[in-house]
Order: sequence, then structure tokens, then C-alpha cells
Amino acid sequence: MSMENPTGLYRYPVTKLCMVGTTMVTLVASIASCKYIFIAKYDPFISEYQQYFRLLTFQLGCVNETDMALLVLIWYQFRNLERLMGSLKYISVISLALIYTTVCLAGLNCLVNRILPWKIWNGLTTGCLPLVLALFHFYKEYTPQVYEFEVLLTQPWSQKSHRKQYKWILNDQFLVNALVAILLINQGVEGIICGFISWIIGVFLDKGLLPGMDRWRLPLMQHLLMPKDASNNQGVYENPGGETSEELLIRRDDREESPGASNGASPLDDENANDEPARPLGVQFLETFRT
Amino acid sequence: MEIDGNTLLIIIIILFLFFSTPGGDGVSSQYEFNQLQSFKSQLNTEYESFEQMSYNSGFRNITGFKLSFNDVKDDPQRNATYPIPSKDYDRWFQNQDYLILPEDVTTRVKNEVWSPNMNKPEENVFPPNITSSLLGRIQLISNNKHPRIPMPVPRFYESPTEFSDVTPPEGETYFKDWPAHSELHNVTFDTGELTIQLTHVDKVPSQLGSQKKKFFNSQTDRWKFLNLRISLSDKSEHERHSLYTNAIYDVRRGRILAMTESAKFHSLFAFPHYMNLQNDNDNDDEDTFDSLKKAVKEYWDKSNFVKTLTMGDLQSWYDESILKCEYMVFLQLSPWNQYTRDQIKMIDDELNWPLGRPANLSHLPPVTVSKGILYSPDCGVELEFHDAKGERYGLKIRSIRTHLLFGIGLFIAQIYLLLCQMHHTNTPSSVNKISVYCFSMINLVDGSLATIYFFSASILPELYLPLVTSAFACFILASVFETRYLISVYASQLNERNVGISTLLRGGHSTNEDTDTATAVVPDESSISGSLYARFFFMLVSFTLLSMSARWWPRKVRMMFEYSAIIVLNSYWLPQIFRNAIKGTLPRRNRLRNQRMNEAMGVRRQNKMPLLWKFVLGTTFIRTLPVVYVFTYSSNVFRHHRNVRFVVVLCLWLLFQIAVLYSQDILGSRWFLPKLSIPEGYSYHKAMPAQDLLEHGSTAGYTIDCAICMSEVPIRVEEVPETHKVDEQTYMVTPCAHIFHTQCLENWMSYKLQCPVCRSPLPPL
Amino acid sequence: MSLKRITKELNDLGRDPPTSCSAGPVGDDVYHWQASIMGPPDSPYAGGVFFLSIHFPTDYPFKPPKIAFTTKIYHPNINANGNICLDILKDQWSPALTISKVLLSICSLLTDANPDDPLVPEIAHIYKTDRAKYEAQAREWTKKYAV
Repeated sequence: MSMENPTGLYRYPVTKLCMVGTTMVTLVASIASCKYIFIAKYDPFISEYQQYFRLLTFQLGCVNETDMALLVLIWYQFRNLERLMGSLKYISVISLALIYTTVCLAGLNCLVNRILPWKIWNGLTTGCLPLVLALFHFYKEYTPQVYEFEVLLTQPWSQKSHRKQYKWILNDQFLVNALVAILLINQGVEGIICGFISWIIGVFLDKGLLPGMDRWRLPLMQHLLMPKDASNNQGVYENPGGETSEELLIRRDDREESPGASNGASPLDDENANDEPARPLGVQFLETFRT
Repeated sequence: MEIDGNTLLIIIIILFLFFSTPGGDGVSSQYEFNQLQSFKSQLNTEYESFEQMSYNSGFRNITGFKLSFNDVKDDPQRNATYPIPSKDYDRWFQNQDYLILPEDVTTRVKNEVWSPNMNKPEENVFPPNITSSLLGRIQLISNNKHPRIPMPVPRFYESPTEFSDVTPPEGETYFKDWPAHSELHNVTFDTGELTIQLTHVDKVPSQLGSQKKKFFNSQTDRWKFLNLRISLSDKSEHERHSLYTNAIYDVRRGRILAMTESAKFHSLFAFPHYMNLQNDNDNDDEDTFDSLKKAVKEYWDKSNFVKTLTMGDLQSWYDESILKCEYMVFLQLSPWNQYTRDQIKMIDDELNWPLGRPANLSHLPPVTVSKGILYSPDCGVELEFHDAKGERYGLKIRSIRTHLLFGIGLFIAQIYLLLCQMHHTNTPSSVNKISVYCFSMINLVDGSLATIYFFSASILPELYLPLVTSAFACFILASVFETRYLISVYASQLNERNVGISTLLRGGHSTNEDTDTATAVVPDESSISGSLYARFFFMLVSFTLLSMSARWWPRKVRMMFEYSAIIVLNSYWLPQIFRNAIKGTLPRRNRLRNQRMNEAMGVRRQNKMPLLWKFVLGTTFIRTLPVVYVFTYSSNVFRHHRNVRFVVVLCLWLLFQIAVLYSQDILGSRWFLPKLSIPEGYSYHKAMPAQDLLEHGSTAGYTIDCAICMSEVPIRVEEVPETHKVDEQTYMVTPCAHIFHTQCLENWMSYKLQCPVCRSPLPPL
Repeated sequence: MSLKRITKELNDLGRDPPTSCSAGPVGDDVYHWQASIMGPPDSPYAGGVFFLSIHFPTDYPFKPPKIAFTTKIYHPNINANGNICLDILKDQWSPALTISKVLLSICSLLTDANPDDPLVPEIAHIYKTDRAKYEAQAREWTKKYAV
């Protein structure tokens, strides 16, 4: 199994769904000028106007374009998780995390604001920051660190060598860390509070304190995620029993080593498959503008 | 000259300098400079006199207000040069000795419009923001009862009589009668339609040509400055008047006073006095006067009124003064007493910055002017109206946005249907059966819609995003998908361009062997697309311009145009019906039988109706829905009149077209043509004379090699009886007399309609 | 369908081989052929033997076969990968064409290059401006790669 990630989103239906969903929901809300349904501030919306629907919708779309861009980038980085878990399990974990973070954050927020007299935590974040933070735990836990590199910060003007050399050690995950950090800071104190709570929820979910992770799978998704040429599709790999990810990895490796169905196809068929590459709508659209 | 990067940069810089220079005051000669100076000094003098004005002192030398109604009533030829002898300037009362209004108008304003029961600010609540467009019906009270107040125009406004003139003439011109523009200066209809557009003016530009605007009003809880655009017309829109007025809105009492402004009527200085027309003369009047005078002064100072005047202003003031009557308009708003002030504030906030506050916007009452009087002192015209209503602008924008979103949904559905249709006709033979005109009509409508959306996006900044999205969706539909499809249809029919209709009925192949019809035009896709795109854009621009200019045509002509355009553009299935008749498909029963037969033979036959039923029904629905909405739903966003009968006619017309299409599907596409009139079409399956066969190098046994599969084709030869057991359906003879297996040639014809051997065009199946 | 026709063509080639070309399947895969062309004597490619690979699509003869030079050749219409710019191999394909006809067309392309519709513009430029240089270069390549 190669250490390189496959590029593109060809075999990541759930990642694609998340990225497209994040973008489209925000865009449509912007066109319809109803972005405000994603804003959940305790005062005045909950305490004064009693608009409890906001406690359920705040994660679904972004208000801020920067958030949207960051989230899309993070979803793309999280495609490793989909590769690791398989699409069905990944989407189930996403839905679980979404439900838990929404319920916990909304509940906590209401509770804190009712009990404490001073308003320290007025608003929830917008966009799926809590969900991403919950998944971030899984990412850190299950994605191996592949390489590390150092950034040497020497002072070019000081001739006395090796006096002070700053070293900055980064690894291959630093991009995700940085993106998540920017996302947290981008929404201010509320982002940090919600992010921290969601991260804890992620840990609990993984360790089994919050149930559902092992057994529960999103119903009806199986048929949607299994394309017809399932034998060729390595990325969508169902994990019916509740195995842990490590077991899963081993099984996957076994499968890779054995001459699988994907290699069994005759070279002739392969050639034919490449003969007429599928032309997606985007390509067709672009081609009309070529002379 | 070759333009490289540097040249381009210089050009851009020059253009930038050209466009970024301040606009200037437009003065281009010494004469004009002097004109502008006179204009400014006149206004300055009047402003000084305004500054000294108090509630108890009259108008002095303010243009248009020098004479009172009684002055003129006694002596219609009265000269209006200030100071007028024997006139009392130190007192002011609300009667016709001092006002320019006749007594009965003043009384009506006092009693009916600004009635005393509206006069208690603490009891009534009026919305502070009333930007809207009101509709109502207007009545003429009188147009010759009252004497006209002479309003002279200073002569310095006139353009120079000689080129060498430097100083503008002095003195004033009196226009006694208006023979040349009489219809402009008189309202002759009894009842008509009224539109009032109310716009708030909160900010004014403080410098000439500057885009920066400043707030000027420090008493926004009391006074609001408005612009009113009032248009009157009779029912058939033969006579139209439009007034552009400044107005002041008394937020506490719901009164609006609007006055036109021109070279003969400097109404800005008269607002404080005339806003006070009311019955109970208490000490409140003086307070109102002072407060309003302060507001006018703020407006004057912040906008640098005199300094920002340009030649353009001078010209438009002059034009207004000689072309139009001056009007004073008194309006009374209906109160919104069901709301408290806080609720109204929340409604305003929600309309400006939507956050989902519980403002219940869908039940917001319309802005209503319960009563209004329009009086023209210099033309003596008096008009009145009741209950002009209109939605708040913000609400209107919201409802348009919803409609646009729905429209985007329709576009997406149409794109999907078109893709299905494109997939359905994926071979040259089947594309050939589509009518170009059918899709041209559909394309024209979509293209014009896209253009209209683009135009509207530049006009309505509030709706920029949804409009641009709609325009984009529409543009993709029209210019990418539909035009692509049109190109392929057009390319497949290129060979029939110069062929008569009877030849087409026969199947595209001329029976006259001696004519050289077989000149194969090889369809060159890029040149076709070039010419088609050019035609498409030409049609589109001309149609869009036509329909946009139709807005200003008289009502009757406009409606005729609209109805006929809608009927014509909704006849899109008609060309397809003709095309079907020309191409001739078999009845459905026969087709199904043939299909079973062919399946047994292993041939996939291209013998289906060219249009998908899903596409036909879906497209009709998508295209009729907006028309039905506009014509039947009386409170539609476009303010279109209601006409159910037309909608019924249109739907019947479309149903008729669909019914004919369906009958063609069931009964065969030529059922309505008499059998005799249909010439025999080209048949690929026929027996060959032995002579021809020998010429084509037939070997013994009356077979020939199929050039596609390179195996033998047995042929039925007319003269040889032993070959008559060969089924004619197993082989095909092209018009160029080449012979192939049916399976082979039909397979090839799904790629290209061209003979494999000699490349001459083949008639489609 | 395609298999039958390819077999037929193979038989015809065996029965009546064209003068300067030959073709046949590689191994037991009928859809993959190898062909060779002798450089035409009146061209700078004279004396060389050029090899080509032919791949038949499954819907042959309705789609053109994919033909490419495997031997390097200096020609305005043939690029470094051996792709050939010839209209009958693209949009002007007709099912009545056979491999031997296509190979003959390629032969005549070697004799008369078409510099107005080049695949390698540099060579086409030399072909048009300095014919002698082009011929020398082509001869050199032929000697180097195709003898």
C-alpha cells in the first residue's frame, strides 16, 4: 500500500459530499439572503425571541466566507479518515458527531446561560466547526505521522556561528493543525469554547463513553455509497463488524496484497476504460468555451 | 499597429486620468459662466431672505412666491417684480392674501387631507421609513376654475442669441399661454392612474462630482427628506405627466408635502410655511416652522447647495420651468396604529439587516396614502386621490428574491430535461429529426431572459447576487446547452438546406439522378457554431431591445405586442410537428412491431420519436408556469394586470400542440396529410436489377461483399427468380447504389450519415 | 463483429500482401497488431524499415484503429511519440477502409508530407523553408533508427 494519498476526490464520496455541501449550503443561503438562520446567539434569539430552531441549525452553514474556505480545506485533508474507515463508517461517525456536538453544545449553552447570572458564553459558532473539532480527535489519533521536517531559523547577519539557532520542527500534519487553529481563532472566544467542548466529545465518542460508534450505521446509506463497480472501488470499503481501525487497516493490507479484483481485469478492458474517459459536466462546460 | 503591454498600460493610464478628473461644473464659455454666476447669486439672495424669514413674516423675493393668490385674482396681469408696491411683507396668515393657494384648496387641505384628527402625534404611529411605490387612481377636480399665478422665468436662463454674446440678458419672461405645449400644461382626463415612488434622501453629496455622501438631518425623528416621482396617466396611457419633486415627511403626523422645483418656482424655501397648513392655530406652529427651517438650512449647508450647482442643473431647471407645471402635493399617510414604535423599529431593522427577528413581515400592512391633493398654482389644475397603496420596498425586494430563487429552480429543471433529451437523441439520424426552429424559439426566450437579468442586476444592487445567479443559470442553459444542441441539429440538417419540401418528404434524396445533388457538404462544426452564435446574439439583442422599448409604448399597442409575442413564442412545438411530418415516423404500433422484429435480428433501430415525452411536458410546464402566474395572480410582483382569458387561450393552444404531437406519436406523423400528397420516401430495401449488380462487381451467385464486415451479402435480383427467397430487409442499398448488410450500415449510420465507400450523404432512416 | 472483420482482414493480407508493408498480430491478441513499412524509395526515408503498433477498438470498424509509429521518425506529421496526424485515422474514418489501405496512406504520407497541418511545427517549418536540411535530417534519423 502506497504511502501517498490518491489525489482528487474520485473515491471519496463522503468527503465530496461534505465539501460540496458546505459550499452549496452557504452559497444558497447567501443568494436567498437567509444566512441568519445559522446564527445562534443566546441573547436575543433564544432568551428573547424563543427561536429554538437556531440551536439545531447553527452547524449546517457558515456565515463567513473565510470559515467556509477553511472548512472545505479541512474536509479535504480529512479524506484520510474516509480512506481509513470506509465511507459508510465515516458518514456514520460524522452524523453521530454532528448529533452529539449539536445536542451537547446547545444544551450546555442554555444551561450555562440560565444558571450563571453573568453572560460569559452568549453565542454558538456558525459552520460545522464543532463537528470538525470532534473529527479532529480521530484524525490525530488514527492518522500516522509520516514525516517530520525542521525549519532552521539562523541569523544571517551574525557571523558568530552557532550562537543561537532556532529550530522549528514541523510534521506532515502541521497543515491540518494550522487550519484548525485558524478556524478556532477566526470565531473568537466562542470558537475556542465550542471547539474545546467538541474535541472532548470526539474523545468520548472514540473511547465509547458516548455510545453508537461501534454498532450504529447510518441507514439507507449502503446503497448510495456502493457504486455498481464495487469490486473496483478500493476506497469504499465496508466494515460490517465493529472492528477497530487497526484491525481494519490490517485487513485492508491483506486485501491489497492479494491479487484483487481490481488487478484481475484484462488489460484489454482497462484500455477500453481509458479509451473514452468519462467527461464530467464541468469538462463539457469548459470545452464549449474552447475554440 | 501592434499593441504591446506598455502601450496598453499607457492607454489605460490615459483613460484613467480622463475618467478620474473631477466632473466640473460644465461651463464651456464666458456666457455660460455668467449664466451660472447669475443663477448662484439669485439663489444666494433668496437664501439670505429665507434666513431672515420667521413664521409671522411673508415671502419676499422668493421666486414663484412673490405674488399671492389674491394679488392675481384682482389683477391677472400683475407684475411679479420684487418689491411689489403696497404689499405687506411683515405679516403672514394662512389665507389667500398670503398663500399662492386659493381658499377652497387651502380649506380642503386643512379639513380633508391634513385633518385635525391626524394632528395628535401622541396618538398615531407612522412608519419612519416609507420607501415604496404606491399605486392608485386619481381624479381631476378642476383645470380652469382658478386663475393662474404668473410665474416669470428669469431671462438669464436663455441660451445666447448670438455667438458673441457674453452677458446674459436681464429681466424676466412671462409665459401667458402655452399654445405649443398645451397638453403638457393641462390635465384633460377625468380619471386616471397614479404612481408615486417614494425614496428617502438621507445623505447628500457634499462636493461637486464627489461620490462621498454625508448625512445632514439632525431631526430624523421629526422630519424626513424624500424624493417623490409622481406619474399620472389616463387609462389608455395617451396622456402622461410625470413630476419629480422634493418632499418633506412629517414623521409625527404622517404628512407629506411635496413641491416641484424649477427656474420659476424655488420651492425649497417655502416648505416651512406650507407645512403648517392646519386648522388649530396654536403656538405649535412656530415651533414647527423653526424646526423645519433648521432642517432646510442643514440640507442647504451640508449639500453646499450653491457651490455644487452646475450648468446641467441650470439647464434642467430651465427645461422644467418651460415644459412643466409646478405642483404642490399634500399627502396624508394612514397610521400604523397596530404597531408600537419599538415594533416598527424592529421591522425596519429586520428589513435592512435580516437576522430573523420575530417581526412578522409577511403581515406588514402596505404603505397607504389615505388622501392627497395635487394643485398647480401656475396652471390652475387641481387633482385628488384616495388610498394609494404600495408595498414597502424592502418587502418587495424580499418577494422578488423568492421568485428569483424559484426561477433558478425552474432553470435547473430545464437544464436537466434538456440533458435527458440530448441523451435521448445521441445519433445523427435521431438528431436530424429535431426541428431547429423549435429549439431556436426556446433558446431566444432563454437568451433574452439572461440579458434582462443582467440588466436588472446592474439596476437593483439589493438583488445583485440572486439576479446574477439567475442570469448565470439562464445563460448556461441558453448559450451552452441549448446552443450546443442547436449546433448539432443544424449540422445534421445542413445537407437539406437547399432542398425543396417535396424532396424532403421523400426522404432527403432527390430522385433526379442527373442533378448533382450528391455534393457532400462536410459539416464544419466550428463555422456552424460561429454563424449560429452570431445569429443567436443578433436575434437576442434585437428582441431584448424591442421588448424593453415596448415598455414605453401606449398601453394598447403594448398589450397587443405582449400578447402576440407570448403566443408566437409559445408555439415552440409547431415547427417540431412540421418536422415530424416531413421526416415521417411510423405509427407507434408499427414501430413496436418493427422493434421486436429488429431485436430478433439483433439490430438496434433508430426509429423513435425525436422528442422525449418527459422533455415535452416538462418544458411546456416550466415555460407556461411564469406566464400563468403573471396573468392570473393579481398581486404578482411585476404589477401585471390580470387576464385569465388570455391564459386559458394560451394553455389551450399549448395543449393543442401537445395533442398533435401525441397523435403523431400514436398514429404516425403524417396522419393528417392525404395519402396521395405524400411521395414515396427513399427505401433502402429494394431488389436490384441484374445489370446494376454486375456493374458493382458482383460475383456469381448474386452476392456482393459488404464493405463494412467484408463478408458476402446475398441480394434479391429482379430478373433471377432463385434469389427471390432473400429477404429485402437483410441488406440496404444506398442512393449511391452501394450495398451493405442492414445491421452493418445501420450501425454505421448511428455514427455518421455518410456512405462508407463514396462518402456521399445518406438520407436518415 | 469486430473479431470477424479483423480475422478477415488478416486473411486478406496473407492472401494478397501489399508491396511495401506488412502487418500481423502480436502474440495471440488479435486486437493488437504490429506493422512495418518500408521507406518509399523516392523519399528521404528510403532504406529504412519503420515499425508501427496497431490497436483495434472493440467497435472496429466503426471506430478507427489506433496506429502509432514505434520507430522514431523525422516527419512533420508524426511526433516523438509516434502519433500520426492523418485525417482518415480521425474524423474522416470510414468503415470501408482497411488496414492495408491505411498503411498505404501512411506510406504516401511519408512521400508527401502535409506541412500545412503539422503535428510538429518545427519540422514543418524546416520542411517549408529549407527542404534540403529537412531531407538530410530525415535521412540521418532513418539511418540512425530505422536501418
